[in-house]
Amino acid sequence: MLGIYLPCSANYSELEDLDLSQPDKNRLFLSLLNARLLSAALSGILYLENMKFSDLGKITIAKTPDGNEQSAFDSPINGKELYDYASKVEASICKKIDSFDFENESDHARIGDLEYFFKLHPNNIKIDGKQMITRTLVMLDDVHILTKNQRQLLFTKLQQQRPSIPVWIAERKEALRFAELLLGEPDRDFQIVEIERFFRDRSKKYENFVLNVADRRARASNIELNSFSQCIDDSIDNQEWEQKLMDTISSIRKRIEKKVSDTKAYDEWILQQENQTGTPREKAIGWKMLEIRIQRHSAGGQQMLIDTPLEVGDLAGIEARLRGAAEFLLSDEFKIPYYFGLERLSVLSTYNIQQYIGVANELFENVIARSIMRKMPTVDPQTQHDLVEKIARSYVSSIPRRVPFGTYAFNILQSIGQYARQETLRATAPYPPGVTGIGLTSRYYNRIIDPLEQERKPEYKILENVLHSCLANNLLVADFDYKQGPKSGDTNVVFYLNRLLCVHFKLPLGYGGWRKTNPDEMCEWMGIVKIAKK
Amino acid sequence: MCIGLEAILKAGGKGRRDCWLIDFDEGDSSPSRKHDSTRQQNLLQFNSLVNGKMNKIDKKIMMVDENNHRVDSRRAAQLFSRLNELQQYSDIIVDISALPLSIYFPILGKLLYLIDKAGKGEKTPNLHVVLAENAHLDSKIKDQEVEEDARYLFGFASDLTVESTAISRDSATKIPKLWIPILGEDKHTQLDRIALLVKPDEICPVLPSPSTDPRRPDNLILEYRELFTKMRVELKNIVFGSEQNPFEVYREIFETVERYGRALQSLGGCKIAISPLSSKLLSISAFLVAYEARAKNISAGIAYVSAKGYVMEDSVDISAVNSNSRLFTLWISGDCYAK
Repeated sequence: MLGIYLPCSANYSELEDLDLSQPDKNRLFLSLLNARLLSAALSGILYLENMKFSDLGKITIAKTPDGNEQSAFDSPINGKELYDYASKVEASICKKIDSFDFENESDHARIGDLEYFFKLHPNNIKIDGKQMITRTLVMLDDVHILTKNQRQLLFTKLQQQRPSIPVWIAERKEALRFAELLLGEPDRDFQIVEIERFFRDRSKKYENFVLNVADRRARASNIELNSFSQCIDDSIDNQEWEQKLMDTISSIRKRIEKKVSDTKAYDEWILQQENQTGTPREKAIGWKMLEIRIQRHSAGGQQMLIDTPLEVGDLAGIEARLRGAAEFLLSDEFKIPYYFGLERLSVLSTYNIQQYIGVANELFENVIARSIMRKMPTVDPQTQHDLVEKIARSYVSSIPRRVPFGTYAFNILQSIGQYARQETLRATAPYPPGVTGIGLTSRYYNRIIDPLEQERKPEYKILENVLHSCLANNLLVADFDYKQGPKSGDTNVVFYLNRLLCVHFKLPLGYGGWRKTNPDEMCEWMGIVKIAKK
Repeated sequence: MCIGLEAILKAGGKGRRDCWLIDFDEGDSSPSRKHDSTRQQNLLQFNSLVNGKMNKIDKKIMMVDENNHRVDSRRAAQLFSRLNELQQYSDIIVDISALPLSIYFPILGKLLYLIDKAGKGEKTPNLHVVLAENAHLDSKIKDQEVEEDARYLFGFASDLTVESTAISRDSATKIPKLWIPILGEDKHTQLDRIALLVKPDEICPVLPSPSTDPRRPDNLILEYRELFTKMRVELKNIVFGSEQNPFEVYREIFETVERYGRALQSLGGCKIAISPLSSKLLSISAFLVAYEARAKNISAGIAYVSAKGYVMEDSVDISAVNSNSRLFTLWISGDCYAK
């Protein structure tokens, strides 16, 4: 298969700033895109077939036998001619963009549509007269960097002309009107794949993928290691932590006994917990879950006519929901490591491979240091926890400098983090495993991005820019159609904190728990009061 | 901002004096807004110097358009269109002390371009660059909201954006890319982002030596040791250039550019990106290299990443610090170069 990778992060957007008519700018844009597509395809063929540049003449692109006019040349053209043509077009347009005197720079831009998206059909491509390529795929990356006009033009052309080779488009989700620009039927004419959601729904797959990457890097290092995973100590079920966990159990137990001393209602629950088997860690989590259940039940205000023990009931469902919250609250209160282990490491990355590698690198540096000091090349849970907290602090402190609208972004994230922590630490754990995000109803969200509303409230424009910046820099992860409950008709837009930010704000790492807010409150969080219209 | 202007006015002389005040608008949400009151004070001082002595002309430049795309460099170059606009002057002095690089590079580039385009015998002005340098003050000013994507600066992209010419003519592999960052303190984010743009095969960092602080080059190596390790920078690739002599640094860098071009000719040549990340004084060396490379059709351009705004540490007493600023002037085109 010939995969043609075309990043859109180059100088396309500068075309919009030339003092030309819009049709001329469109012509330049499409010509540049097609020229780059053509030269990327030809160099891809050379690479795939292990050919040299001087072998370009062996490639021909000819009429397709399927009779599609769009894909036809008048006569077969060889690769060298095409490459020279593409180079000439591209160089002339780039020179025009970079010129101090662009009006007097001629260009060779003559292409007004997606011509080469058809001509590069695998049936057309021959090497020494033989068809060697069975499939062609065009991959357009960073499409969100194009200007609004350019994105619109590209999507319109793709929809109208329907190229005969598949086209993948990768862009950041904060190019918010993506779906609105696409005409046609979803799943029939186009498919949207949200990478973060894809991996979020397949967390084990993601964990295996990133671990594979980390293992390869570890094997390539200059210390003898078969895998990264062998360096990461995944458990606190050992002698070092046993006493601490037993003390924890004892503290919680005393608290429970004190709380329920005047009632028999929870006797069966307590008895069941006392009979629980398992490691000290599992028992400690069990006791914490019990404490939360008792807290919830007693806060529920249900009066019992006769003081008799409540039945134990089916706890499986409750435990599945409470377990995450219990583990976090336990770790937070009793200073037990929480941010450790391979599974947590992959969750910390917020389904972003770069972030994963950043954190894994720091841990691996620790392994190398230990190896040099002739110690066991494994990182214990407490060290992992401390290192991850240090990485998170550095990550947060750099936000004002490295992120557009960084100061506002920092303020809003601080407010979300503090609010989330306050909600997470409630004794009844109402949103297990904890709150790690905020949500707006779709109606509120549409108000923020509505130009007319922004005229009325200029602070909404800043808020839109800040949210855009947070999404672009992976500080927030958005779920744009969150439905609360199966029967609810309302959708919400939920913004979850990057999991590394959760570490900084001392929050659990699970998704799910979020609290509602509104645009005005978010503006206050940013530190903006109402802006007077100019 | 006004030190250069004060010095020029003190020099006296008669004749027409025009002063273009370039007002670049970073937007309402720029972090620089924190220093609006200082800006107003500067403006008051500027007006008091200029009033009655010079013709003041205001020139406004928007840094970003309504879609948040950077347009500052192109708009800066558009301040001048034709040579005849310049021919009324014997000397043009561009004070870059208070201008960001994305503005003064295209201004200087366009001025030089118009001057160089002049026909034989046509009158052209002398072109000078003036700046007030203060390393201590510079260290207190921090970039805020560094842009996510680095770019090749308008007017100085060379053919670095042309992807088809990136393929070596002798094989199907990419032509080697050399990156020459002129290093200054606290530029980690910028270096990371420019490295993503350039994807260099080799790096020749420029360190300031000799320097007023003799330990400065060592401190820079220590500061960027992780980057050096990650990108496998060889110590023998380090270029040393005088901290206060941009012409010397320009010669060193240009020799490096030519040397790599000759050495890699058999591989199809190389593409070179230069990143001025140190003082404004040293940035002029990068400007001169890029401009000359452009004139000689050498593949060398400027890779840069802008910041949305700048903030100064609260503890700085500007008037006290300002008194330690040193004024530099560079004559980059004109009578002294006449053949």
